[in-house]
Amino acid sequence: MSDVCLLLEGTYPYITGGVSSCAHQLIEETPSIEYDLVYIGTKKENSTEYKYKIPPNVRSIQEVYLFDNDLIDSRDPVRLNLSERQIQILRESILFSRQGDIADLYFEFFKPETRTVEPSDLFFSKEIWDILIDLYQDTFNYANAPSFIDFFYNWRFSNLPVFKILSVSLPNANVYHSLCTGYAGLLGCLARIDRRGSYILTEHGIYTNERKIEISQSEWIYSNKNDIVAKNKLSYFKEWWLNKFYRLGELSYNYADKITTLYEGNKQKQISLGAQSSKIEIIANGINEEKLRSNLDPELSYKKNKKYCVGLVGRVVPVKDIKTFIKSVSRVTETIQDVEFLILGPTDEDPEYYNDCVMLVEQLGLDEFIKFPGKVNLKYYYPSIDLLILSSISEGQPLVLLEAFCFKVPAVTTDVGSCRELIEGASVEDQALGPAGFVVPFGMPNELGDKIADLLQRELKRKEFGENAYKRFKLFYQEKYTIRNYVELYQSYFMDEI
Amino acid sequence: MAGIGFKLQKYFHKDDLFENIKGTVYSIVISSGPWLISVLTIAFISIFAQQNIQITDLFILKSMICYTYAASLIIFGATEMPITRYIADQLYKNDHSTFKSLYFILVMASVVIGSLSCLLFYSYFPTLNLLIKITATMFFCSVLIIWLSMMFLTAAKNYHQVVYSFLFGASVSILSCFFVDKEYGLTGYVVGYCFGQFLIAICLSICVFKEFKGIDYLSFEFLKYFKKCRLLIFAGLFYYLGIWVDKFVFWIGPEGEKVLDLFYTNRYYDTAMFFAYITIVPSLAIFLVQVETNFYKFYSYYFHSIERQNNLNILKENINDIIYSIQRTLINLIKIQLGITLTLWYFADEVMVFLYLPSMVVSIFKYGVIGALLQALFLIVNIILLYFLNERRVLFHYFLFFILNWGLTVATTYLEFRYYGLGYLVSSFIVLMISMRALNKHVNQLNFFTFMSQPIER
Repeated sequence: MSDVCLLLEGTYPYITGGVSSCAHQLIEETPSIEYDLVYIGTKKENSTEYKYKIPPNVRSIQEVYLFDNDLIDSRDPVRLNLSERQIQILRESILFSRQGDIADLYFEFFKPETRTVEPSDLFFSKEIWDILIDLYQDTFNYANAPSFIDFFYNWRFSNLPVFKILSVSLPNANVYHSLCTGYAGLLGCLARIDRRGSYILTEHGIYTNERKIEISQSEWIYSNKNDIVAKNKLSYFKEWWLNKFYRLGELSYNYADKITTLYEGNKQKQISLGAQSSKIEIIANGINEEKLRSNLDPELSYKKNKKYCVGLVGRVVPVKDIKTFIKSVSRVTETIQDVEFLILGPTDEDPEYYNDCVMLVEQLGLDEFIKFPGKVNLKYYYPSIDLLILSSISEGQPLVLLEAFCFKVPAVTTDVGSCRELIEGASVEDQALGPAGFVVPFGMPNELGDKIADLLQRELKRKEFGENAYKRFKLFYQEKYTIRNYVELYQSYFMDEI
Repeated sequence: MAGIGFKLQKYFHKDDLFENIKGTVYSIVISSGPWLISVLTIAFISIFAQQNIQITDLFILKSMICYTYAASLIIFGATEMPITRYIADQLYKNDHSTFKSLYFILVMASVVIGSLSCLLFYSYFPTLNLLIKITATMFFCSVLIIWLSMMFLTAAKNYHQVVYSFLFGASVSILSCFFVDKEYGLTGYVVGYCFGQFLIAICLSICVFKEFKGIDYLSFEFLKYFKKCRLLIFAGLFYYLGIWVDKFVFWIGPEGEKVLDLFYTNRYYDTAMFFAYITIVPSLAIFLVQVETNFYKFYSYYFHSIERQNNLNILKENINDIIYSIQRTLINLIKIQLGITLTLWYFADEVMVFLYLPSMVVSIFKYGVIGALLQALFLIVNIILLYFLNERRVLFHYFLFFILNWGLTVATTYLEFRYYGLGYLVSSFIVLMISMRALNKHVNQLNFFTFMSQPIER
């Protein structure tokens, strides 16, 4: 039995990002704790190599792929002779309605010792078909009935991953710790339902809200062409998917013994999504200053070409809203010429978006100001950067901001995630340290540009903000605090077991 | 058989009586043409031969032809459906590039399998001379190749050339037998007849190679279809075994005669059943037209309708259209065929007298003519079930037919003569009823079967 089983959905060790770094950091910095990892991905072929060196205190890595299955042959559909109760349980779970309890579903259909049918048979069962037809006919009248094939496949593809998760056999551990709600959260619930151990949920971003944005923008979910609905109302199928993620979120919040998140704003969102406020604890991200500053080879340090250097650290993807940043640069160059702008982050994740950005740079004639060095070792850049920018539409608690603080770099950020808390301070004590930069609304290039220009021109202010930033980091955002908080949390549940 | 209807639609899509009649006649000619030509050839040759060779030699000739057709159909039946599926899929992709090599592979396989089985089979005939054995082997291979080539040519909708080839080969068969001297006897007739059939195989093969011009690649992809459609291998096998098993039983049963070594015959049962089968030719022709024009239209419309993201109510209407078209097909067939069948049944005595056949044939013919109608119906029902990919079910029906026809026919041989043929009738009836029930169940729950049987991909 290991101490902690980390439940990781679309992140460590296959995908890099904020959550992955935190997970890696946590494992690495707690060598006395033994971990099992369960990685949840969409398909095996998308996960080829570990992006991190796996520390020795990781005992096992189990992989679960939601859309990989061996049901690739057509089969004769069958009647499974389910009981009334079983049919009722299925009916409630299919649309992810509030009444259904996942525990009943698990014990009746998935737990190997208590189930009466093979879970995959459910996809070919007459009973499920009858439930689907009932639902379809109850929900729609003759005039507004939507595409049936989409109804059918929405059921399949919304239920398939859930069934897959419910069929997972978890490693034995004292504590199950999921780093989001969703499918990883469902696995956490499973551990709790099966009385395997305690369940801790940590959310960096709010999973349900992220899915909501994704779903409302997605084009693959069919919307009835004939639907005449208010513009801001989602189609039936989108509602279905959204309900599913709301429901998964709720389940995680209900079953979790403890919920942690990065900052106050997230806590409020979790409460509004159904989490009990008493369960929630805030554990902020932390940075290890020594590590960041150690082994610095001065030869490799970035040398400024202009008087000022402004950096945006982030992947070139829509959520970082690089385009707004580029437009703001245009504004800055109206007043200041002797400045360079670096967009530091991988450009290959969304090649189309990257191309758009390059084109925008050309169209605005900013070639001489803006550079895309791609993915670089940031610690060689921070010392040369005068100002850090975040133009994201959405953020959690951005590590890059904390890293910049560590190098006394002030920042101008959009008002998303915990950026305001980081720039202006969260608690009264924190606020007393003074601001570390400016916060502007997202998607407004001129305001962003004006603040950048303002700070660049005021040398003293910049220095002052940089000092504030460093103090804030020292007091609240050191790695050792974060690790200590998690270890204490784990230990309080290890005690439970003894 | 599938495939002809696409061309026939040309004749049927207009509501023009003349075009409709033309279509019907055309469909009868192309669907039954080869069969009718072959039957008439054998009939002609029998008449000539009666005057020139001994009656025992004539029986040897007839048995040889009969055994060849039976064995080749059973072998072909086992391979027909997987290969047809492969051809249909390739045609759907508009990719002919593997057909020539596929045909070549299949012809080679036929020659090897045909030669080996004939070598084994004719080794039990010490009295037949070597020339006859060699010719008979060639004949067997030719017939296998004829079935193969017709499969390719019907898929390519090249019906005219099929009919021309048969006419040409049959003329050669008849003429060569006509000019055979008495002194060549049985050998002369065998060689003459088989030469004509050999020419048909050559002509049809040329047609295949002309039909699929262009670059050609060697591909063994079709072998996957034998794995994918393994149920269909057995379905085809049991269907043809089922058709022949009652004859086999009667050859070695009561009134069966040993012709020579392994050749057996039953002159009453064979003759009666032969004429009974002729009576269902029109209904099968009509079915061909109906299924491929009418049923197929609604069938494919239903699947288009699903893909076009229609709602459940529209899908239900589409299913009702399918049900209606199946009903119409079966009712049309029964309307026409029942009249023919009942008339022949009623006047069976007179018909047999007219054909100079012994009155013993009458009672078997009476069972046979009704059994043949029922068999035609269950064949149609099962072909429709195959359209819905209900392969397991169809295999079950054909297997049941084989077992029932065998068991019940054996049972009737213990009874009086007047019950002979009843086994075939009863087994056809039982299988028809079960097939109808399965079709009814399937079509009424078509949405369920269509959606819930889908594999999960992505």
